[in-house]
Amino acid sequence: MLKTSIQTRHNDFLQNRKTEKRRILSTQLLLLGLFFLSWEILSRMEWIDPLIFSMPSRIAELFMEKSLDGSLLLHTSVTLSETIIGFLLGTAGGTFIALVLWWSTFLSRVLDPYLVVLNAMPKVALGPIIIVAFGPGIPSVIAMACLLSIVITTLVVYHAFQQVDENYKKVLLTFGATKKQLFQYAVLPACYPTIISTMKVNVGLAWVGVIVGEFLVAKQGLGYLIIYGFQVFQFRQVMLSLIVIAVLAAFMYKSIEALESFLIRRSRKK
Amino acid sequence: MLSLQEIEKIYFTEENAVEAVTDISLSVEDGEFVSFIGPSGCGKTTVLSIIAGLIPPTSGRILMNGTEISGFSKETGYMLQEDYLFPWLTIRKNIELGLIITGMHNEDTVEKTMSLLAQLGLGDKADAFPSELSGGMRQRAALVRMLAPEPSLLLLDEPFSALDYQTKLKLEDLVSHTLNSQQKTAILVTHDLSEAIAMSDRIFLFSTNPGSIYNVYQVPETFRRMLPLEARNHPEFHPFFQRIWKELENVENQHPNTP
Repeated sequence: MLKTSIQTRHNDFLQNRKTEKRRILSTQLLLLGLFFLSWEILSRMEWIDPLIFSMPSRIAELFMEKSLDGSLLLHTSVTLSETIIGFLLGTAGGTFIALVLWWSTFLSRVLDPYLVVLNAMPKVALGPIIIVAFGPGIPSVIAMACLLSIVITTLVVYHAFQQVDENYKKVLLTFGATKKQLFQYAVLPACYPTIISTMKVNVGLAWVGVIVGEFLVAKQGLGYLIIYGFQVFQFRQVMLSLIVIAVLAAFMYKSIEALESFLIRRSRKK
Repeated sequence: MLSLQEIEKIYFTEENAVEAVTDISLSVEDGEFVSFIGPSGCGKTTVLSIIAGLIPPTSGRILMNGTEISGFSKETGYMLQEDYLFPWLTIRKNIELGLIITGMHNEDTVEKTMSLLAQLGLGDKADAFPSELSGGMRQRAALVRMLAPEPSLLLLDEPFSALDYQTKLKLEDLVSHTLNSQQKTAILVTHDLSEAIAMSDRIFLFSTNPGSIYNVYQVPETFRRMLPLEARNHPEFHPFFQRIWKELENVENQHPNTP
């Protein structure tokens, strides 16, 4: 008797949560719809300048047009691959440098002020130098994306390596572990959560680096579409590129989140 | 047999050099269980870390069965105050880690270790994560991890101090029984005098500033071989406890600066 009442209460509770979720999702969709609708109306009524702000229907037209002739796919894939490569290089490179610093206390003390300066410095200011060094093309764009995230990754991950509880290392040392084993079995796994969270930050930074890089040098890519559209006053194209970037960046961020929850579920399986 | 000869350890800091322990000479027979007790700051853990090879002595020698050892030795196992099982590994993986690092990981040793795990009542927990186990269970798993590479000398650094009283008494019996049946030599560092008396054959009392051996006590024959819980109930336990307690107080009063 009591048990059935708990069961019904639990069902009620689940039902409530479902309704709540549905309300949130429908409000979110409504907001999105309202945004595009009012954009369309305001632009058609010429309350905002249609030349500058364009309107969703025209952007959709352009989207169809550029999808059919394959150019959107080309530009998107160039930008996306630059971003992914820059992101991977930045994250892996930063983690690797953090490993080197962890390995050699001497080196980490020597390099400390340089890292501080590099970190504080706005990396985008190095743009011209990067272009000269890597040539006006895709390598420069990737270098920009990588540079933006590598320093902060190094600092954050190195700090995490240092914060690993000494006692975990002590456990391994009592078995006669080498430095490599300490890193492999204690330090690195203890820092996976930190590495994943820097990955989330790096996704954003890689996008910034790629778009700025494309502004500066590219002949292809979404950043190029933006800057070109701006120069020839084709704001339809600018808006389209912005929307594509927003969707892709959100998608990448969500993938990292999915990876995170997968890894955490695997290590803290209940 | 383990013997320490005139071990000395000095810690250096920016301000000064502190003599942590000085002139520590002692020997422990095979199969013997000894305890180090003393006020905090008496260097008992420092001596244990030196034996484990975790820190080098400033001077002095450590001999194991007649040969000098420096640094890590396969013959020693170390148990910390808390279990420090890696939370991202299952109990099985945690325990196998000791075998992997010592290079002894093979089917034979794994099987032996798993049967020891079962003996200690954790057979069904092998694939659980540490967070799913109680404090006592985790410390038992840590005991298995230490015993897996079959060390002959066990160094126990207050392994029961983080447990509640009842779990602690049970685990004392279990450790005592397990070590006895495997004929291990053990050194226990503790701040709990009755634990030291209940578990050991001999007790080294340390004094502070600098840490040195103040006195050595032979635990009475009458309850020395008993399990800790039985020993605690033996009529001669308390008189012996009182005797050492007084000396412990003397040691602490010698140095009123230390709490």
